Formats: sequence, structure tokens, C-alpha cells
Amino acid sequence: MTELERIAHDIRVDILKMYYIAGWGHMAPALSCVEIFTALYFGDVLRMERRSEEDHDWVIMSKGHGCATWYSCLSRTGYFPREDLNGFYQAGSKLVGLASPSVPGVPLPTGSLGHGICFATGTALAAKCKKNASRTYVLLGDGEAQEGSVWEAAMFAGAHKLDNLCVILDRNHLQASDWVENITVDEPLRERWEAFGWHVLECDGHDFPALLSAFEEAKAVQGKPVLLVAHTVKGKGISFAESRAEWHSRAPRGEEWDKACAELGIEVKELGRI
Amino acid sequence: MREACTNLIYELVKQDARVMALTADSRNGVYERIRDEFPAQYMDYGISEANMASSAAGLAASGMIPFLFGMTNFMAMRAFEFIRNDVAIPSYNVKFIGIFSGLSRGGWGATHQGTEDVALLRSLPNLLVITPATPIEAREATRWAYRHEGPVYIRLEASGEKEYFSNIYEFAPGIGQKLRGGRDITLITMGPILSEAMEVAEELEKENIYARVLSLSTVEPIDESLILEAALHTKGILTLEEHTIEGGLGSAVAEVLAEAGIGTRFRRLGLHGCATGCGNREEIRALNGISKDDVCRTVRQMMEA
Repeated sequence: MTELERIAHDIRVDILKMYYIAGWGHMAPALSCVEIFTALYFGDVLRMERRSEEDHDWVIMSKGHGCATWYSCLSRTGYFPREDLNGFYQAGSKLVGLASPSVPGVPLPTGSLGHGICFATGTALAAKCKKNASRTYVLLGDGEAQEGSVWEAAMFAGAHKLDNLCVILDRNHLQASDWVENITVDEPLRERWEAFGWHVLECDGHDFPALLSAFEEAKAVQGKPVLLVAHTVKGKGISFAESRAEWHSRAPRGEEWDKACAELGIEVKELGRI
Repeated sequence: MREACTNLIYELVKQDARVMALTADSRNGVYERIRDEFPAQYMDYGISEANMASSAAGLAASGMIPFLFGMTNFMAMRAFEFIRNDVAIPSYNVKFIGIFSGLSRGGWGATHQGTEDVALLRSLPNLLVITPATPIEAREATRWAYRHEGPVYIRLEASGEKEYFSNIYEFAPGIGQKLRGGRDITLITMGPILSEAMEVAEELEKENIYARVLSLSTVEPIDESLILEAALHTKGILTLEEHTIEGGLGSAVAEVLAEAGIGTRFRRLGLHGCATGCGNREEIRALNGISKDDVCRTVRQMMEA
């Protein structure tokens, strides 16, 4: 197991514990983006040492339903104490169930879809205005891309050549109620985004070498924003939650906890505390 | 009032590299000068108000001070949820300049009339909504917005509004203005419809009805003491606005009176939902019951009651 794989595993354990404490919520949307966020925060993609500087890199989880992954990463990089993860969904805590700006490191509330990518055009444009090296990374859901505002932002970023903007599409093919393809036609993805002026990359969203090399490639692209289509599995890592629409907004129940713990190699009694 | 506001924005752009002039295909002469002279501080987002509002939050998060210029109906209402989630809740330093509010583009129909924006936006956290009544008040509200760290929405109409304030007027939120004294009836207005109230007051004086005229540029916070003083010292209160009274000025004044437990003769003139009808501005006011004649008639009824 590589260091990044170990971190991703630990983040999955955090997620399982957070939903155990919460008792409900969007566990599967968090699990699909664990490797993407692990690569960003722990794979030397973001320049973490600059986070207190004005030209820091931005991370925006536009699909705020996956925020357990983001909160875990932020707690592991010093934005707030690890202990605080125990407050997920709890009264008096800052850790609201969908990404909230009350959490250090989260610049805006997301989960209402089609917002984060628009906000990101502003941080990317500001970096251009100030001529600094800040880059903006956005995680976009594939269902989320049905929002019209996503395409307002896509058209704007392409037209203004925001090559400091990298959008990662969490391509898990599922949205809240069904498979994306049962609801609409969103292919051909590559041609659509290219037509809006974007450079499109694709990779396995659970494979670290593939993700890291895609992020490196994205940094080298000039004159165009980058869409990285990361092929993922919703619910990844908890077998019975994988690729199942009914798992969009729920946590395990009863004996499912034993099974989930067994799959992540922890004891059920460890679940209650982070 | 549009020029009074945008000319000051031009000066701010010139003085402060953080100030940006943004629009969504709603240009004006001053913004075109900014585009030509300070292209790095100008951006036309195209017809995409939602993206502009949220992108402005991203700019503000990066230390810029964006002034968004656009038609009220699009900027405040089409982009409402983007203002709510991305600007108001995290309290980013974004300034919205909404033009052609009320019925100032009356003849274009309800889609282009900004008649619910105050009701919507005053319900949001952190965002201050200002409805200047005159060009000087528009300019001073803009100056205040620049100095204030936090989101501000300035509701403007067009050009050529009558001036009632002196050049040394200073804007402050929650402070209303008394434009005319009187002991019979109080007319409270929001925005440039103040001029109609002033004309009505003059006309009523010929009938020995002495009207006090108050202008409230903010309803959240609202100048409670000015309203309560008027309720105690005049025989009734009539509110007048080019905005839906549900959630607008009429509602806001009613809330103050009700919470203070004050019973007085009280009527609200304004729109009920969207305005209806075709015509020029005066004709649309008349069709929607907020013409000068409607105000005079309502005051007379209140005085007889």
C-alpha cells in the first residue's frame, strides 16, 4: 500500500465514522471522490504552504454532498482539529451536513448545485488580474452538470482562457434518483466541453498515478481551462453501497455496519469516535 | 441617479486597483469608459447573471471589490439563489447596482420591471439593500458601499430623478429623511417616487391638509423612531412605493407599527404582485393605483375617516 493509498483508506474510515455519528446523510457521494481529494491535498498538487498567502490555491467542492471527504482532508491538513469531525451533523458543531463556509477551508456553501464552478471563475479571474500563480480546483458532479449555471461558467472560463482553473468531473454516472443516462443525455462529454473552449483530460478517478499525472498535465495546459473527467464509482470502498442509486442519501443500518467495518478493516466498536 | 452612481464607480476604479466594474451585457457610457481606460478592472460576463453573481463572490474572496451593474429584474431575481448562497451567507464584499428598478422600464412589461427585489433581498443575511431616492443619495450610497466591508445592493432607477438632498448629504443605513414637515398625514416613500409624494403634499396644502413626507432608503434596518414619531404626531400614515407592498416598504412600516402596538390610520399604496398594463410610466402608475391622483384621493379618504 502506498502512502496515498493509506491516507485514502484512513479518510474512508473517517467517512464511515462520520456517518455512523450522523446516522444519515450522503455517504456514497463522499466515497467516490476520496482519491481525487487525497491526490489534491496529499499528492503535492496543491501548494499547501501558501494557504495563508493571498495567492493560495483554491479547492471548491461544487458537489457539496461529498463534504465528509473534504472535511476529513481539511482536518488532516491543519484547518481545524481532527476531534471536530465528531461534530458532523451535530448540534452546536460547525460541520454542517453539506459543505458550509462555517468550516475553515470552505469558502462558500455548496450542495445547491452549479454554484462552486461559478465561484471558481471569480477566484481564477482574480489570479489573472493580480498576475499571481494561484490555481483553482473544482470538484463537479456529473449529475450537477445538468444545472444551466455550470454552462454559464464553462462558457465564461473558456472565453477568457482561464488556464489556472481545473475542474474535476466526478464521473460516477449516478445522481440523486437514478443513473444519469436514464434521466438525460450528457454525452459526448469531451466534445461538449471542448466546444466551450476547454482542454479535456480523462483518467481513472481511483488510481493515484493516473490522477497525479493528469494534474501535472493540467498544470502545463496554457490558454484553456481544464476539465479532468475522473471515472469513479459512487460509494467506492463499501461494496454494497457501490453504484446503487438508493445509496445517494443514506448511511448503513443494522448489520450493514459490521459488513462495512469488515471491508475497511476496523472494529464496529471503533465507529463511535474519531 | 445612474450617472451619479457610475461616475463615482469610475473614480473608485481609478483610485483603487481592487475595484472592478462587472456587467452582464448591460452596458452604460461610464462602464464603457472603464472598459477602455482600465480593461483589467472591467468584465462583461455576457447574459449570465447567475455566474456573474457567484464569480463576483470568488473575486471578492480574492480581495477584489466588484461593482456589478445590471437590470434589477435579472440581477436580483434571476440570480437570487446565487446572491443568497455565494454572496450573502458567506458575507463577501460584493456590490450590486440594480438599474431600471420599479416601473422605470414600465412599457417593457412585467419581465423587465424590478418590483419584488427589496422583498426578496431584505430577507437575506448580511446584505444591505439601499433604495436611494435621488442622484445625490445614489452617489452617497455608492460611496458608503465602497467603504463598507460586506455585501450591498443599491436599487436604482434611471436618469433625471428630482434632487431633494444637499451636496453634503451623508448616507447612513437605518436613517430615514424628513423632506417636509406636516401634522395631518405622513407620506412615507422608498425611492424616487418621493417626488410624487412631494407634489401631492403641495397640492394637499391648497386644501389645508398638511402632509409630512419621509423617505426611507433602507427598510432593513429601518428608521423606527422616525416612523413612530410620525405615528404619534400626525393623524395617519400612508406608504407609497413602486414595489410590491407585500414584503416591501408597506410591509416594513406595518411591522414597525404593529410591533410597537400603535394603532393609527394606515394605508399602503404600491403594487400587488407584478404591475399590469401597457403605457408610459405615468399611465402604468395610474393603471396600478399609484398615481398622484390615487395618492390624493387616498389621503382625503383617510382624513375623512
